[in-house]
Amino acid sequence: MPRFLKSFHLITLSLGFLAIVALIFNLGIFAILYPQVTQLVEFDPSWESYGVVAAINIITIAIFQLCGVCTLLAHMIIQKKTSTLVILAIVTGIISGLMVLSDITLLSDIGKEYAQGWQTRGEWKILFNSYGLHILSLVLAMVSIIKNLRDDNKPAEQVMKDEVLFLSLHTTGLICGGLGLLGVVAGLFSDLSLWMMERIVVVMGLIVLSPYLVILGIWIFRRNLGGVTPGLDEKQFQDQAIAGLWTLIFTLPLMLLFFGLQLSSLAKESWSALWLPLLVFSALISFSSLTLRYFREYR
Amino acid sequence: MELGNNLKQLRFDYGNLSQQALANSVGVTRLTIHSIENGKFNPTTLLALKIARFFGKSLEEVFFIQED
Repeated sequence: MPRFLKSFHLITLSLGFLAIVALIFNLGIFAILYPQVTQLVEFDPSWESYGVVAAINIITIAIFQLCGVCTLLAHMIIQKKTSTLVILAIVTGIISGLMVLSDITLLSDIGKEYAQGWQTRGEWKILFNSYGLHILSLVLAMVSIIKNLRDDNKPAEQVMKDEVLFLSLHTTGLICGGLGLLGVVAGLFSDLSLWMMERIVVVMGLIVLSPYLVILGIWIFRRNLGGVTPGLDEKQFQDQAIAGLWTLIFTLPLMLLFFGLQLSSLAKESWSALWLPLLVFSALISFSSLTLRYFREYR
Repeated sequence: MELGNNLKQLRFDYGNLSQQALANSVGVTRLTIHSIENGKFNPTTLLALKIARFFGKSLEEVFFIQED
């Protein structure tokens, strides 16, 4: 492993330990504040100073997520190695990094609504779920970084046609598609209004798709860089073409079914906001999983 | 009928050439070479000619038809 990449790993690892402390500290503060805020109990003004520490902790977590994702991506591109663990760490890292922004918004909303004497249990629920994701992504990133540091002592073999990014892109597509589909199915069973559902679908859809878009962006950008010749090789092209054909065959009846549901009175009101993400995530899962299947069949 | 090949033997004769080195020379991924060697993937005429040219052989010396 090149020296600068090893330094990157060590810096990120140190930041990771700081982020663990920051996460534990914030969770501790939230655990103390939660019963008081939800029961609208007035608390000591000295808690204001903890708010500053919590804000610094949020920034620490965000910096770690950014460094973690960049380090793992740099390792993947330079060392030409990847694994499901690393891809999971990258996907959760990007989603968790974006959820930090939602944490800030939620905390601000909780503060404002508490001052108005309103109930904030829903916001707290999302905040704690978001922290669950931060913990998961932090653990995955730390394990991946330690594994990279322990495994990689020999230089990477020269590669003219990339296969690591190809594999990573489709594995990411499968994970993001699966997460998105889970979210949409959860939406189908929820009682949220159409107005609320439309907003959640757009924001969550973009957040869930962001890791796929990041890897796709790197792949396109990487093709235009030196070192790796551009384009797919003929087998990659064939694998994607067959996967694309099956995806088309699979999604056409699905579209007809969705259209029928839209016209019928069977669908709930929120269906008009959910059918498109359902179709997009189903197509993404189908395309990525089939490409990986053909890709691995010949391994 | 299937497409057979002598790729493994040719790589061995060529100083134990790695699949990656051959892949780099003909502009494909290592996995494609691996799949061709194992008869799981049939290369295009262009790639077959590139591989034959790399080893300095005729096409028939590298690829052949296997009768059932």
